Amino acid sequence: MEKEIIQVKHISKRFKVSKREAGLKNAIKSFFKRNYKIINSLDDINFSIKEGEIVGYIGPNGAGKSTTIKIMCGILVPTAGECIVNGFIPWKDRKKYVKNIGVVFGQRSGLWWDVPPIDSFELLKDIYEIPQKQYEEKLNELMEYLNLQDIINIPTRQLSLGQRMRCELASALLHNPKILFLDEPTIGLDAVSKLALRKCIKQLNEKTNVTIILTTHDMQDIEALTERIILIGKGKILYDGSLNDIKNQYNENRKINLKFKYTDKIINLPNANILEQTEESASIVLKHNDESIADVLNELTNQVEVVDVSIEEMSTDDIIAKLYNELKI
Amino acid sequence: MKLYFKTVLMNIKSQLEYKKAFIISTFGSFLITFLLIIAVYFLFLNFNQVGDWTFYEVAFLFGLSYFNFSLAEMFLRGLDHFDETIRNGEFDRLMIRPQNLLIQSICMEFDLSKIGRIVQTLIVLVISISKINIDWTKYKILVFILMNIGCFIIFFAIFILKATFCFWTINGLEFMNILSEGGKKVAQYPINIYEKWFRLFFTYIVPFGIVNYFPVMYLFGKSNNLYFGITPIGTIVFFVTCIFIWEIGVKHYESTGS
Repeated sequence: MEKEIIQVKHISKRFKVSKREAGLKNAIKSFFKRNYKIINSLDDINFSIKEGEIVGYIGPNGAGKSTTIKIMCGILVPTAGECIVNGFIPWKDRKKYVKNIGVVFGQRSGLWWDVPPIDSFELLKDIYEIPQKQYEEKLNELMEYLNLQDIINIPTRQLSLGQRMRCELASALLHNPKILFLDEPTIGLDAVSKLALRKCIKQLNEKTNVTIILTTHDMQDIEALTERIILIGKGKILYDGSLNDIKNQYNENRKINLKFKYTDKIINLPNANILEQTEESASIVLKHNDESIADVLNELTNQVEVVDVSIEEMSTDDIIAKLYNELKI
Repeated sequence: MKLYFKTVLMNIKSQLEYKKAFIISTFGSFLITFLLIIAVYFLFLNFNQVGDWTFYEVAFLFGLSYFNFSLAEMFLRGLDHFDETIRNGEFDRLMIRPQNLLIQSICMEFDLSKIGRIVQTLIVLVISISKINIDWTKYKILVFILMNIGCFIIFFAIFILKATFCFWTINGLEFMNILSEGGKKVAQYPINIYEKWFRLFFTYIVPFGIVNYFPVMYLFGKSNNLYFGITPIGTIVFFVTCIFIWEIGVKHYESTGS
Protein backbone atom coordinates (compact mmCIF):
# COMPACT_ATOMS: atom_id res chain seq x y z
CA MET A 1 0.00 0.00 0.00
CA GLU A 2 1.20 3.48 -0.76
CA LYS A 3 2.32 5.66 2.09
CA GLU A 4 0.01 8.39 3.33
CA ILE A 5 2.19 11.46 3.25
CA ILE A 6 -0.37 13.94 4.57
CA GLN A 7 -2.76 13.26 7.39
CA VAL A 8 -5.11 15.91 8.65
CA LYS A 9 -7.24 14.97 11.63
CA HIS A 10 -9.98 17.06 13.21
CA ILE A 11 -8.31 20.37 12.39
CA SER A 12 -10.19 23.46 13.52
CA LYS A 13 -9.18 27.07 13.33
CA ARG A 14 -10.97 29.92 15.05
CA PHE A 15 -10.16 33.57 14.57
CA LYS A 16 -11.03 36.44 16.81
CA VAL A 17 -12.19 39.31 14.68
CA SER A 18 -12.87 42.70 16.13
CA LYS A 19 -16.30 43.95 15.25
CA ARG A 20 -17.10 47.59 14.83
CA GLU A 21 -20.11 49.53 13.69
CA ALA A 22 -19.66 52.37 11.24
CA GLY A 23 -19.33 55.97 12.39
CA LEU A 24 -16.93 58.07 14.39
CA LYS A 25 -18.68 57.51 17.69
CA ASN A 26 -18.39 53.77 17.39
CA ALA A 27 -14.80 54.07 16.23
CA ILE A 28 -13.93 55.88 19.43
CA LYS A 29 -15.96 53.45 21.50
CA SER A 30 -14.21 50.46 20.01
CA PHE A 31 -10.87 52.11 20.68
CA PHE A 32 -11.47 51.59 24.37
CA LYS A 33 -13.58 48.49 24.39
CA ARG A 34 -13.44 46.05 21.52
CA ASN A 35 -16.19 43.66 20.69
CA TYR A 36 -14.83 40.44 19.37
CA LYS A 37 -16.54 37.95 17.18
CA ILE A 38 -15.28 34.40 16.92
CA ILE A 39 -15.15 33.07 13.39
CA ASN A 40 -14.85 29.38 12.69
CA SER A 41 -12.60 29.37 9.71
CA LEU A 42 -12.10 25.63 9.77
CA ASP A 43 -14.31 23.16 11.52
CA ASP A 44 -13.20 19.57 12.02
CA ILE A 45 -11.29 19.00 8.80
CA ASN A 46 -10.19 15.47 8.00
CA PHE A 47 -8.42 14.02 5.00
CA SER A 48 -5.31 12.15 4.01
CA ILE A 49 -3.26 12.17 0.87
CA LYS A 50 -1.02 9.47 -0.52
CA GLU A 51 2.48 9.96 -1.79
CA GLY A 52 2.55 10.91 -5.46
CA GLU A 53 -1.11 11.88 -5.58
CA ILE A 54 -2.43 15.08 -7.14
CA VAL A 55 -5.39 16.46 -5.23
CA GLY A 56 -7.54 19.42 -6.17
CA TYR A 57 -8.60 21.42 -3.15
CA ILE A 58 -11.57 23.50 -4.19
CA GLY A 59 -14.23 25.70 -2.70
CA PRO A 60 -15.62 29.19 -3.10
CA ASN A 61 -13.78 32.27 -1.84
CA GLY A 62 -13.55 32.44 1.92
CA ALA A 63 -14.29 28.75 2.38
CA GLY A 64 -11.06 28.11 4.27
CA LYS A 65 -8.84 26.85 1.46
CA SER A 66 -5.89 29.10 2.15
CA THR A 67 -6.22 28.66 5.90
CA THR A 68 -5.84 24.91 5.38
CA ILE A 69 -2.88 25.41 3.08
CA LYS A 70 -1.27 27.79 5.56
CA ILE A 71 -1.65 25.24 8.33
CA MET A 72 -0.13 22.51 6.18
CA CYS A 73 2.76 24.86 5.32
CA GLY A 74 3.42 25.59 8.98
CA ILE A 75 2.48 29.26 8.72
CA LEU A 76 -0.56 28.98 10.98
CA VAL A 77 -1.12 26.96 14.11
CA PRO A 78 -4.60 25.40 14.27
CA THR A 79 -6.82 25.92 17.28
CA ALA A 80 -7.38 22.18 17.58
CA GLY A 81 -6.55 19.00 15.77
CA GLU A 82 -3.62 17.07 14.42
CA CYS A 83 -1.74 17.39 11.21
CA ILE A 84 1.19 15.27 10.14
CA VAL A 85 2.92 15.96 6.88
CA ASN A 86 5.88 13.89 5.82
CA GLY A 87 6.37 12.78 9.43
CA PHE A 88 6.45 16.34 10.76
CA ILE A 89 4.01 18.56 12.59
CA PRO A 90 4.32 21.55 10.27
CA TRP A 91 4.22 24.36 12.84
CA LYS A 92 6.76 22.67 15.07
CA ASP A 93 10.33 22.36 13.90
CA ARG A 94 9.54 24.77 11.08
CA LYS A 95 13.04 25.03 9.64
CA LYS A 96 13.47 21.28 9.19
CA TYR A 97 9.96 20.74 7.93
CA VAL A 98 9.91 23.36 5.18
CA LYS A 99 12.96 21.85 3.50
CA ASN A 100 10.65 19.16 2.20
CA ILE A 101 7.88 21.30 0.82
CA GLY A 102 7.61 23.67 -2.09
CA VAL A 103 4.98 26.36 -2.36
CA VAL A 104 3.78 28.46 -5.27
CA PHE A 105 1.36 31.27 -4.55
CA GLY A 106 -0.13 32.31 -7.87
CA GLN A 107 -0.92 35.77 -6.60
CA ARG A 108 2.49 36.47 -5.17
CA SER A 109 5.97 36.10 -6.50
CA GLY A 110 8.68 34.08 -4.83
CA LEU A 111 11.30 35.44 -7.17
CA TRP A 112 13.27 38.61 -6.69
CA TRP A 113 11.61 41.12 -8.94
CA ASP A 114 14.46 43.13 -10.39
CA VAL A 115 16.98 40.40 -11.11
CA PRO A 116 16.86 37.46 -13.55
CA PRO A 117 15.39 34.19 -12.23
CA ILE A 118 18.78 32.50 -12.32
CA ASP A 119 19.99 34.89 -9.59
CA SER A 120 16.96 34.00 -7.49
CA PHE A 121 17.69 30.31 -8.00
CA GLU A 122 21.28 30.82 -6.87
CA LEU A 123 20.08 32.51 -3.72
CA LEU A 124 17.53 29.77 -3.04
CA LYS A 125 20.34 27.26 -3.38
CA ASP A 126 21.98 28.95 -0.39
CA ILE A 127 18.76 29.42 1.55
CA TYR A 128 17.95 25.71 1.25
CA GLU A 129 21.60 24.74 1.56
CA ILE A 130 21.48 22.59 -1.55
CA PRO A 131 24.82 20.98 -2.48
CA GLN A 132 26.24 22.43 -5.71
CA LYS A 133 26.14 19.19 -7.67
CA GLN A 134 22.59 18.33 -6.72
CA TYR A 135 21.56 21.90 -7.51
CA GLU A 136 23.04 21.78 -10.98
CA GLU A 137 21.42 18.45 -11.78
CA LYS A 138 18.03 19.60 -10.58
CA LEU A 139 18.29 22.92 -12.37
CA ASN A 140 19.13 21.22 -15.67
CA GLU A 141 16.26 18.82 -15.21
CA LEU A 142 13.81 21.63 -14.45
CA MET A 143 15.09 23.78 -17.31
CA GLU A 144 14.28 20.93 -19.64
CA TYR A 145 10.82 20.11 -18.25
CA LEU A 146 9.75 23.70 -17.91
CA ASN A 147 11.50 25.00 -20.99
CA LEU A 148 13.37 27.78 -19.23
CA GLN A 149 16.51 28.11 -21.35
CA ASP A 150 15.53 31.37 -23.03
CA ILE A 151 13.99 33.19 -20.09
CA ILE A 152 16.29 32.46 -17.20
CA ASN A 153 18.55 35.47 -17.81
CA ILE A 154 15.87 38.12 -18.27
CA PRO A 155 14.96 40.27 -15.23
CA THR A 156 11.85 38.79 -13.66
CA ARG A 157 9.81 41.97 -14.01
CA GLN A 158 10.16 41.77 -17.79
CA LEU A 159 8.83 38.21 -18.06
CA SER A 160 5.27 37.51 -19.12
CA LEU A 161 3.03 36.00 -16.47
CA GLY A 162 3.21 32.58 -18.12
CA GLN A 163 6.99 32.65 -18.25
CA ARG A 164 7.15 33.87 -14.70
CA MET A 165 4.89 31.07 -13.44
CA ARG A 166 7.18 28.48 -15.00
CA CYS A 167 10.09 30.08 -13.16
CA GLU A 168 8.06 30.17 -9.94
CA LEU A 169 7.42 26.47 -10.33
CA ALA A 170 11.13 25.83 -10.82
CA SER A 171 11.99 27.95 -7.78
CA ALA A 172 9.63 25.88 -5.63
CA LEU A 173 11.17 22.60 -6.82
CA LEU A 174 14.91 23.32 -6.72
CA HIS A 175 15.34 21.77 -3.29
CA ASN A 176 13.57 18.63 -4.43
CA PRO A 177 10.55 18.79 -2.12
CA LYS A 178 8.33 15.79 -1.52
CA ILE A 179 5.20 17.89 -1.45
CA LEU A 180 4.24 20.79 -3.65
CA PHE A 181 1.50 23.26 -2.75
CA LEU A 182 0.11 25.16 -5.69
CA ASP A 183 -2.20 27.99 -4.71
CA GLU A 184 -4.06 29.13 -7.81
CA PRO A 185 -1.13 28.60 -10.15
CA THR A 186 -3.02 29.38 -13.37
CA ILE A 187 -4.67 32.58 -12.19
CA GLY A 188 -4.48 35.29 -14.83
CA LEU A 189 -2.79 33.10 -17.44
CA ASP A 190 -3.87 33.04 -21.07
CA ALA A 191 -5.18 29.84 -22.61
CA VAL A 192 -1.90 28.76 -24.18
CA SER A 193 0.13 29.36 -21.02
CA LYS A 194 -2.46 27.51 -18.96
CA LEU A 195 -2.21 24.46 -21.17
CA ALA A 196 1.58 24.59 -21.09
CA LEU A 197 1.69 24.94 -17.32
CA ARG A 198 -0.75 22.07 -16.78
CA LYS A 199 1.36 19.86 -18.99
CA CYS A 200 4.45 20.79 -16.98
CA ILE A 201 2.76 20.03 -13.67
CA LYS A 202 1.49 16.69 -14.92
CA GLN A 203 4.91 15.75 -16.21
CA LEU A 204 6.65 16.75 -13.00
CA ASN A 205 4.30 14.61 -11.00
CA GLU A 206 4.82 11.61 -13.26
CA LYS A 207 8.59 11.90 -13.40
CA THR A 208 9.44 12.86 -9.83
CA ASN A 209 6.44 11.42 -8.00
CA VAL A 210 6.02 14.67 -6.10
CA THR A 211 2.75 14.93 -4.18
CA ILE A 212 0.73 17.94 -5.32
CA ILE A 213 -2.03 19.85 -3.56
CA LEU A 214 -3.66 22.27 -5.89
CA THR A 215 -6.17 24.98 -5.13
CA THR A 216 -7.85 26.63 -8.04
CA HIS A 217 -11.07 28.12 -9.28
CA ASP A 218 -10.42 26.82 -12.75
CA MET A 219 -12.16 23.47 -13.12
CA GLN A 220 -10.22 22.72 -16.26
CA ASP A 221 -7.05 22.70 -14.14
CA ILE A 222 -8.64 19.97 -12.07
CA GLU A 223 -9.89 18.02 -15.06
CA ALA A 224 -6.50 18.12 -16.69
CA LEU A 225 -4.53 17.18 -13.61
CA THR A 226 -6.45 15.04 -11.18
CA GLU A 227 -9.25 12.69 -10.48
CA ARG A 228 -9.62 13.47 -6.83
CA ILE A 229 -11.10 16.62 -5.42
CA ILE A 230 -11.67 17.79 -1.88
CA LEU A 231 -14.47 20.31 -1.68
CA ILE A 232 -14.57 22.69 1.23
CA GLY A 233 -17.28 25.18 2.11
CA LYS A 234 -17.78 27.32 5.20
CA GLY A 235 -14.90 25.61 6.92
CA LYS A 236 -16.23 22.07 6.46
CA ILE A 237 -15.32 19.34 4.04
CA LEU A 238 -18.34 18.64 1.88
CA TYR A 239 -16.98 16.16 -0.56
CA ASP A 240 -13.87 14.07 -0.98
CA GLY A 241 -13.75 11.84 -4.01
CA SER A 242 -13.66 11.71 -7.75
CA LEU A 243 -14.67 14.62 -9.91
CA ASN A 244 -16.42 12.29 -12.35
CA ASP A 245 -18.81 11.00 -9.69
CA ILE A 246 -19.86 14.55 -8.91
CA LYS A 247 -20.25 15.26 -12.57
CA ASN A 248 -22.48 12.26 -13.13
CA GLN A 249 -24.52 13.09 -10.09
CA TYR A 250 -25.10 16.72 -10.91
CA ASN A 251 -24.98 16.74 -14.64
CA GLU A 252 -28.28 17.41 -16.29
CA ASN A 253 -29.07 14.93 -19.00
CA ARG A 254 -27.40 15.53 -22.27
CA LYS A 255 -29.35 17.24 -24.97
CA ILE A 256 -29.13 16.59 -28.70
CA ASN A 257 -30.09 19.31 -31.18
CA LEU A 258 -30.88 17.92 -34.57
CA LYS A 259 -31.50 19.26 -38.06
CA PHE A 260 -32.78 17.07 -40.84
CA LYS A 261 -34.36 17.16 -44.26
CA TYR A 262 -38.07 17.93 -44.44
CA THR A 263 -40.24 15.17 -43.07
CA ASP A 264 -43.62 14.78 -41.46
CA LYS A 265 -42.71 11.61 -39.64
CA ILE A 266 -42.70 11.82 -35.88
CA ILE A 267 -39.46 10.65 -34.31
CA ASN A 268 -39.79 7.82 -31.90
CA LEU A 269 -36.92 6.79 -29.65
CA PRO A 270 -36.95 4.28 -26.79
CA ASN A 271 -34.13 5.88 -24.75
CA ALA A 272 -34.86 9.56 -25.22
CA ASN A 273 -37.60 12.11 -24.84
CA ILE A 274 -38.45 14.47 -27.65
CA LEU A 275 -38.60 18.02 -26.28
CA GLU A 276 -39.84 19.56 -29.47
CA GLN A 277 -40.01 18.70 -33.13
CA THR A 278 -40.63 20.79 -36.22
CA GLU A 279 -40.56 19.62 -39.83
CA GLU A 280 -36.83 20.24 -40.08
CA SER A 281 -35.45 20.15 -36.54
CA ALA A 282 -35.80 18.56 -33.12
CA SER A 283 -34.28 18.64 -29.66
CA ILE A 284 -33.98 15.43 -27.76
CA VAL A 285 -32.96 14.68 -24.20
CA LEU A 286 -31.46 11.36 -23.19
CA LYS A 287 -33.37 9.57 -20.47
CA HIS A 288 -30.23 8.39 -18.71
CA ASN A 289 -26.80 9.89 -18.63
CA ASP A 290 -25.01 6.65 -19.30
CA GLU A 291 -26.90 6.22 -22.55
CA SER A 292 -24.64 5.99 -25.57
CA ILE A 293 -25.08 8.92 -27.88
CA ALA A 294 -23.86 6.84 -30.78
CA ASP A 295 -26.73 4.37 -30.37
CA VAL A 296 -29.24 7.15 -30.31
CA LEU A 297 -27.79 8.77 -33.38
CA ASN A 298 -27.80 5.44 -35.16
CA GLU A 299 -31.45 5.03 -34.44
CA LEU A 300 -32.14 8.59 -35.56
CA THR A 301 -30.47 8.15 -38.95
CA ASN A 302 -32.83 5.24 -39.57
CA GLN A 303 -35.81 7.47 -39.06
CA VAL A 304 -34.78 10.83 -40.61
CA GLU A 305 -32.14 12.19 -42.95
CA VAL A 306 -29.83 14.02 -40.54
CA VAL A 307 -28.17 17.24 -41.74
CA ASP A 308 -26.57 18.60 -38.57
CA VAL A 309 -26.11 17.45 -34.97
CA SER A 310 -24.95 19.30 -31.86
CA ILE A 311 -24.72 17.96 -28.34
CA GLU A 312 -25.20 20.15 -25.28
CA GLU A 313 -23.54 19.19 -22.09
CA MET A 314 -23.12 21.07 -18.83
CA SER A 315 -19.59 22.34 -18.32
CA THR A 316 -17.76 21.40 -15.17
CA ASP A 317 -18.02 25.03 -14.10
CA ASP A 318 -21.80 24.86 -14.40
CA ILE A 319 -21.86 21.67 -12.41
CA ILE A 320 -19.70 23.09 -9.64
CA ALA A 321 -21.78 26.28 -9.53
CA LYS A 322 -24.87 24.14 -9.22
CA LEU A 323 -23.21 22.12 -6.50
CA TYR A 324 -22.22 25.25 -4.52
CA ASN A 325 -25.76 26.47 -4.89
CA GLU A 326 -27.27 23.24 -3.72
CA LEU A 327 -24.95 22.99 -0.71
CA LYS A 328 -25.61 26.67 0.03
CA ILE A 329 -21.95 27.65 0.31
CA MET B 1 26.02 35.59 7.56
CA LYS B 2 27.13 34.48 4.12
CA LEU B 3 23.51 34.43 3.15
CA TYR B 4 23.03 37.97 4.41
CA PHE B 5 25.82 39.28 2.21
CA LYS B 6 24.42 37.42 -0.77
CA THR B 7 21.01 39.00 -0.33
CA VAL B 8 22.66 42.37 0.19
CA LEU B 9 24.44 41.88 -3.10
CA MET B 10 21.14 40.97 -4.70
CA ASN B 11 19.55 44.12 -3.30
CA ILE B 12 22.38 46.27 -4.56
CA LYS B 13 22.00 44.72 -8.01
CA SER B 14 18.31 45.58 -7.90
CA GLN B 15 18.93 49.16 -6.85
CA LEU B 16 21.53 49.74 -9.53
CA GLU B 17 18.87 48.78 -12.06
CA TYR B 18 17.39 52.20 -11.39
CA LYS B 19 20.40 54.51 -11.70
CA LYS B 20 18.75 57.92 -11.54
CA ALA B 21 16.61 57.12 -8.53
CA PHE B 22 19.68 55.80 -6.77
CA ILE B 23 21.78 58.93 -7.40
CA ILE B 24 18.99 61.28 -6.34
CA SER B 25 18.22 59.46 -3.10
CA THR B 26 21.92 59.14 -2.21
CA PHE B 27 22.43 62.85 -2.74
CA GLY B 28 19.23 63.60 -0.84
CA SER B 29 20.26 61.52 2.16
CA PHE B 30 23.59 63.37 2.20
CA LEU B 31 21.90 66.75 2.12
CA ILE B 32 19.37 66.06 4.89
CA THR B 33 21.91 65.31 7.62
CA PHE B 34 24.10 68.13 6.34
CA LEU B 35 21.26 70.59 6.96
CA LEU B 36 20.72 69.13 10.43
CA ILE B 37 24.27 69.66 11.58
CA ILE B 38 24.23 73.18 10.07
CA ALA B 39 21.15 73.88 12.21
CA VAL B 40 23.03 72.75 15.32
CA TYR B 41 25.90 75.01 14.30
CA PHE B 42 23.64 78.08 14.06
CA LEU B 43 22.22 77.24 17.43
CA PHE B 44 25.71 77.34 18.93
CA LEU B 45 26.50 80.66 17.19
CA ASN B 46 23.86 82.17 19.45
CA PHE B 47 24.45 80.21 22.65
CA ASN B 48 28.12 79.18 22.51
CA GLN B 49 27.46 76.30 24.88
CA VAL B 50 24.74 73.87 25.91
CA GLY B 51 25.35 73.09 29.57
CA ASP B 52 29.11 72.78 29.69
CA TRP B 53 29.32 71.17 26.26
CA THR B 54 30.93 72.88 23.30
CA PHE B 55 29.78 72.74 19.69
CA TYR B 56 32.36 70.12 18.69
CA GLU B 57 31.51 67.93 21.62
CA VAL B 58 27.84 68.01 20.66
CA ALA B 59 28.82 67.51 17.02
CA PHE B 60 30.68 64.40 18.13
CA LEU B 61 27.57 63.01 19.79
CA PHE B 62 25.49 64.04 16.78
CA GLY B 63 27.92 62.20 14.53
CA LEU B 64 27.92 59.14 16.75
CA SER B 65 24.15 58.95 16.90
CA TYR B 66 23.41 59.71 13.25
CA PHE B 67 26.27 57.63 11.89
CA ASN B 68 25.05 54.49 13.64
CA PHE B 69 21.44 55.29 12.90
CA SER B 70 22.29 55.58 9.20
CA LEU B 71 24.19 52.31 9.32
CA ALA B 72 21.13 50.69 10.88
CA GLU B 73 18.91 52.24 8.23
CA MET B 74 21.11 50.90 5.47
CA PHE B 75 21.67 47.39 6.78
CA LEU B 76 18.35 46.87 8.57
CA ARG B 77 16.01 48.53 6.11
CA GLY B 78 13.98 45.32 6.00
CA LEU B 79 12.98 45.83 9.63
CA ASP B 80 12.25 49.49 9.08
CA HIS B 81 9.87 48.53 6.26
CA PHE B 82 8.54 45.42 7.97
CA ASP B 83 4.96 46.70 7.83
CA GLU B 84 5.10 46.21 4.06
CA THR B 85 6.38 42.68 4.47
CA ILE B 86 3.38 41.92 6.66
CA ARG B 87 0.88 43.85 4.57
CA ASN B 88 1.67 42.19 1.25
CA GLY B 89 1.89 38.74 2.78
CA GLU B 90 5.60 38.34 2.16
CA PHE B 91 6.07 37.16 5.72
CA ASP B 92 4.20 33.94 4.85
CA ARG B 93 6.83 33.33 2.24
CA LEU B 94 9.62 33.85 4.74
CA MET B 95 7.97 31.26 6.96
CA ILE B 96 8.25 28.57 4.31
CA ARG B 97 11.99 29.08 4.01
CA PRO B 98 14.32 27.08 6.24
CA GLN B 99 16.11 30.07 7.75
CA ASN B 100 15.80 32.33 10.76
CA LEU B 101 12.82 34.67 10.42
CA LEU B 102 14.48 37.75 11.89
CA ILE B 103 17.49 37.46 9.61
CA GLN B 104 15.27 36.85 6.61
CA SER B 105 13.19 39.91 7.48
CA ILE B 106 16.35 42.01 7.63
CA CYS B 107 17.39 40.63 4.26
CA MET B 108 14.19 41.84 2.64
CA GLU B 109 15.74 45.19 1.91
CA PHE B 110 19.11 46.90 1.86
CA ASP B 111 19.14 50.63 1.29
CA LEU B 112 22.41 51.49 -0.41
CA SER B 113 21.39 55.13 -0.88
CA LYS B 114 21.92 55.71 2.85
CA ILE B 115 25.62 55.69 1.99
CA GLY B 116 25.25 59.45 1.43
CA ARG B 117 24.19 59.95 5.01
CA ILE B 118 26.86 57.60 6.35
CA VAL B 119 29.64 59.47 4.59
CA GLN B 120 28.28 62.81 5.78
CA THR B 121 27.99 61.79 9.43
CA LEU B 122 31.38 60.15 9.30
CA ILE B 123 32.85 63.48 8.17
CA VAL B 124 31.14 65.23 11.11
CA LEU B 125 32.53 62.58 13.45
CA VAL B 126 36.09 62.88 12.11
CA ILE B 127 36.12 66.71 12.13
CA SER B 128 34.75 66.89 15.67
CA ILE B 129 37.30 64.35 16.94
CA SER B 130 40.11 66.39 15.42
CA LYS B 131 38.85 69.56 17.12
CA ILE B 132 38.39 68.04 20.57
CA ASN B 133 41.38 67.49 22.76
CA ILE B 134 41.32 63.79 23.53
CA ASP B 135 44.34 61.98 25.01
CA TRP B 136 44.03 58.85 22.93
CA THR B 137 45.10 55.71 24.74
CA LYS B 138 44.47 52.11 23.68
CA TYR B 139 41.68 51.94 26.20
CA LYS B 140 40.07 55.09 24.84
CA ILE B 141 40.16 53.69 21.31
CA LEU B 142 38.39 50.61 22.67
CA VAL B 143 35.84 52.84 24.40
CA PHE B 144 35.20 54.71 21.15
CA ILE B 145 34.63 51.44 19.28
CA LEU B 146 32.36 50.16 22.07
CA MET B 147 30.33 53.37 21.90
CA ASN B 148 29.71 52.82 18.20
CA ILE B 149 28.84 49.17 18.59
CA GLY B 150 26.56 49.93 21.54
CA CYS B 151 24.84 52.73 19.68
CA PHE B 152 24.26 50.47 16.67
CA ILE B 153 22.92 47.72 18.92
CA ILE B 154 20.37 50.11 20.44
CA PHE B 155 19.11 51.18 17.03
CA PHE B 156 19.10 47.54 15.94
CA ALA B 157 16.99 46.63 18.97
CA ILE B 158 14.63 49.57 18.40
CA PHE B 159 14.19 48.51 14.78
CA ILE B 160 13.33 45.00 15.95
CA LEU B 161 10.82 46.44 18.40
CA LYS B 162 9.30 48.59 15.69
CA ALA B 163 8.99 45.59 13.37
CA THR B 164 7.51 43.42 16.13
CA PHE B 165 4.80 46.00 16.62
CA CYS B 166 3.59 45.15 13.09
CA PHE B 167 2.54 41.66 14.23
CA TRP B 168 -0.30 43.31 16.12
CA THR B 169 -1.08 46.28 13.96
CA ILE B 170 0.43 47.86 10.90
CA ASN B 171 -1.24 51.15 11.63
CA GLY B 172 0.12 53.47 14.28
CA LEU B 173 3.73 52.86 13.41
CA GLU B 174 4.31 56.57 14.01
CA PHE B 175 4.19 55.69 17.67
CA MET B 176 7.24 53.49 17.27
CA ASN B 177 9.06 56.31 15.51
CA ILE B 178 9.15 58.08 18.87
CA LEU B 179 11.81 55.56 19.77
CA SER B 180 13.77 55.45 16.52
CA GLU B 181 13.56 59.02 15.23
CA GLY B 182 13.18 60.48 18.71
CA GLY B 183 15.97 58.37 20.15
CA LYS B 184 18.32 59.48 17.42
CA LYS B 185 17.64 63.12 18.28
CA VAL B 186 17.80 62.60 22.02
CA ALA B 187 21.17 60.93 21.63
CA GLN B 188 22.66 63.88 19.78
CA TYR B 189 22.92 65.80 23.06
CA PRO B 190 24.49 64.59 26.31
CA ILE B 191 21.60 63.35 28.40
CA ASN B 192 22.57 65.33 31.51
CA ILE B 193 21.01 68.42 29.91
CA TYR B 194 17.54 66.80 30.14
CA GLU B 195 15.02 66.55 32.97
CA LYS B 196 15.50 63.72 35.45
CA TRP B 197 12.61 61.42 34.43
CA PHE B 198 13.59 61.81 30.80
CA ARG B 199 17.18 61.00 31.65
CA LEU B 200 16.18 57.91 33.60
CA PHE B 201 14.01 56.64 30.77
CA PHE B 202 16.82 57.01 28.25
CA THR B 203 19.33 55.36 30.54
CA TYR B 204 17.49 52.40 31.99
CA ILE B 205 14.65 51.66 29.54
CA VAL B 206 16.04 52.70 26.18
CA PRO B 207 19.69 52.93 27.18
CA PHE B 208 21.07 55.75 25.05
CA GLY B 209 22.73 57.20 28.14
CA ILE B 210 25.13 54.29 28.42
CA VAL B 211 26.38 54.62 24.86
CA ASN B 212 26.93 58.35 24.84
CA TYR B 213 26.85 60.22 28.14
CA PHE B 214 28.85 57.90 30.41
CA PRO B 215 31.53 56.74 27.99
CA VAL B 216 31.89 60.19 26.48
CA MET B 217 32.51 61.67 29.95
CA TYR B 218 35.47 59.34 30.21
CA LEU B 219 36.55 59.82 26.61
CA PHE B 220 36.65 63.61 26.89
CA GLY B 221 38.41 63.46 30.24
CA LYS B 222 35.46 64.93 32.13
CA SER B 223 35.52 61.89 34.41
CA ASN B 224 38.26 59.47 35.35
CA ASN B 225 35.94 56.59 36.15
CA LEU B 226 37.25 53.72 33.99
CA TYR B 227 33.94 51.86 34.26
CA PHE B 228 32.17 54.65 32.41
CA GLY B 229 34.08 53.44 29.35
CA ILE B 230 32.52 50.01 29.21
CA THR B 231 28.89 50.87 29.94
CA PRO B 232 27.91 50.32 26.25
CA ILE B 233 28.15 46.58 26.93
CA GLY B 234 24.88 46.96 28.84
CA THR B 235 23.00 47.46 25.56
CA ILE B 236 23.09 43.69 25.10
CA VAL B 237 20.42 43.38 27.80
CA PHE B 238 18.14 45.71 25.85
CA PHE B 239 18.89 43.81 22.64
CA VAL B 240 18.11 40.40 24.11
CA THR B 241 14.87 41.74 25.58
CA CYS B 242 13.80 42.99 22.14
CA ILE B 243 14.63 39.64 20.52
CA PHE B 244 12.47 37.98 23.15
CA ILE B 245 9.57 40.32 22.35
CA TRP B 246 10.06 39.56 18.65
CA GLU B 247 9.64 35.85 19.34
CA ILE B 248 6.37 36.58 21.13
CA GLY B 249 5.28 38.55 18.06
CA VAL B 250 6.00 35.59 15.77
CA LYS B 251 3.93 33.31 18.00
CA HIS B 252 1.09 35.81 17.82
CA TYR B 253 1.33 35.87 14.03
CA GLU B 254 1.12 32.08 13.87
CA SER B 255 -2.14 32.09 15.74
CA THR B 256 -3.81 34.95 13.86
CA GLY B 257 -2.15 35.06 10.47
CA SER B 258 -3.02 38.67 10.03
